[in-house]
Amino acid sequence: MMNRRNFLGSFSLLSLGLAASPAPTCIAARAVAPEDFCLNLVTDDSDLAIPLLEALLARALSAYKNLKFSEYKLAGQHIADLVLIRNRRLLDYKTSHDELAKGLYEIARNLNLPRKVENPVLMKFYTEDRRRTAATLNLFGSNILLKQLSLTENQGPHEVESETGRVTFVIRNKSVKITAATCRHKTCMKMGSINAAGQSLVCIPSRLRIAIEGQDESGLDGVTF
Amino acid sequence: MNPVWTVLRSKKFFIVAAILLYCPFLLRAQTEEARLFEVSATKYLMGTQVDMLAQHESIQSCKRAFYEAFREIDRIENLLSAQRETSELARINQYAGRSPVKVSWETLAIIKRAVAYGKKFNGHFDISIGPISYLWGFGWEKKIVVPERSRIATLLPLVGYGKISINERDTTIAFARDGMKLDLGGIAKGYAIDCAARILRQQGIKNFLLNADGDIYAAGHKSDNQKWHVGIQHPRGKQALIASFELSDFAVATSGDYERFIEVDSKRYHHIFDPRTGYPAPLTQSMSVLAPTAEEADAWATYLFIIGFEGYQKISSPQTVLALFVDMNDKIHWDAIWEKNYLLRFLD
Repeated sequence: MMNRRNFLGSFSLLSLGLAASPAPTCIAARAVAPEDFCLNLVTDDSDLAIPLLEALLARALSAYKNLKFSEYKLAGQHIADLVLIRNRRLLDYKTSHDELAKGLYEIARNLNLPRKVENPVLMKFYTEDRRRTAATLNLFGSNILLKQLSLTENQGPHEVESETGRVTFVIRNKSVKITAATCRHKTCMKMGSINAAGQSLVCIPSRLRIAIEGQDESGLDGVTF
Repeated sequence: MNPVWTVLRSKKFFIVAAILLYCPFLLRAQTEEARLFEVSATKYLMGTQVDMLAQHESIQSCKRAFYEAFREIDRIENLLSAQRETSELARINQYAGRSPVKVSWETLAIIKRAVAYGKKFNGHFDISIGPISYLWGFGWEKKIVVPERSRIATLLPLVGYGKISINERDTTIAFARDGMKLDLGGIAKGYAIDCAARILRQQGIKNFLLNADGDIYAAGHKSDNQKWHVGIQHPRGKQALIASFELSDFAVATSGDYERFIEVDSKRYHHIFDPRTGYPAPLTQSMSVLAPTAEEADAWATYLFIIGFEGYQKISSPQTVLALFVDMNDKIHWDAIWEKNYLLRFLD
């Protein structure tokens, strides 16, 4: 079971990592650098949440022409809530007073946040910050986000399981490698190790995916292989 | 009365003038509202991971369109997957050697096109390779083995697109010999991508990228002044790339010896078989094809992988596709037009 503290802890993992990294010191450089923005929402009512957030982001973030959106199912019980990370800082929309914070406060009220929910979705609205270092590992089973792990410390072996199989992986020196798999052909083990944002290891028969959060530095939209 | 004055006093003049006056404001309001979201989704279909990525102003519309497109791929898998026991293809493989099997027009049409590719490519692309690919085990839930030479020799007579009988009037498929099997692996994924792309367009999504196990179709643009940006995987450097290029309203597919393979006594055996020998095609590490549709890219990639770069050079007729090869000596060969028109850039 995940409580509110754990939820904030897991989804602000990245923000804490980013906050710990050296902040830009030149004001002029900060002014021209694209602003980093990430809004995470765990909810069981995406049909209500999406139009509200679309409208708010159009009003309050008019400078952004291309925000990214992704949505994952979460298994089990979670705390439905909003987490806003802006310029690498975790912001409390309840105590801020700008248009975005006020809008989020209204949306949180409409969605009756925070509260416990079963099998919700995690929605992310974000800009891609290519300066970001690979820090978070997402584990998916049949496209359900099962777990998030930090890539910055050596861990494992960890096991992740789906209805159709199981893989074992280790994190060493900020790289991930699948060391064992129950599938027949072991193609996922032959994929080697990954260490950069946007890379992933996939075990098709087990429908398991281990992905490093973010987009690779080259900004590719797809790879043919 | 002066005709100019008459026009100026008319109701129509005031309406037109009002529209003209407000037009810039209306247009400005519309452009300000045109925020695009980059929406992505992933599903496991056709035994692989299918990714969809789109630029659209409405997330809900995009999600609906993705749902329909995924459903379309699932529908095609139900028709054409040899591994799904209830598919039309599985039924053909089971019974067409004994008597003609009635199929849907769609299945008949894709088998007909696949046979046409077989003729065009002089038998180097052949969907009747099924008995050989099943024997090796790639793509099937069975152990991959290097078969005995005599076993391959026994099965080779079952391979040959000329032994597939297509009856358009009765919409039936029959085999000349029992034991024949069709394997649409070289064309079905591309066809499914093309069908999903059609669904997305019908749903009003104009700018999108579909990626099914490295077979990619990109429509429109990623942003106002930016096409979709695609990389080509290095056949030996795991997770490394050899090149990147821009893609818009075109498809790319790659056939390689590095995705599904086994090594026995330091020799690599992969899953793309030469229909004439029954053994993995030995001339190419990786070959990528740029084509107007994913189906064409898929079929051409299999064919060109088998004949290799030297074989490609001997093709005299004008082609609708562009090619990039990595041969067995790690040497890269590519069509200059790809570099010029699609900003192909090689990476260190």
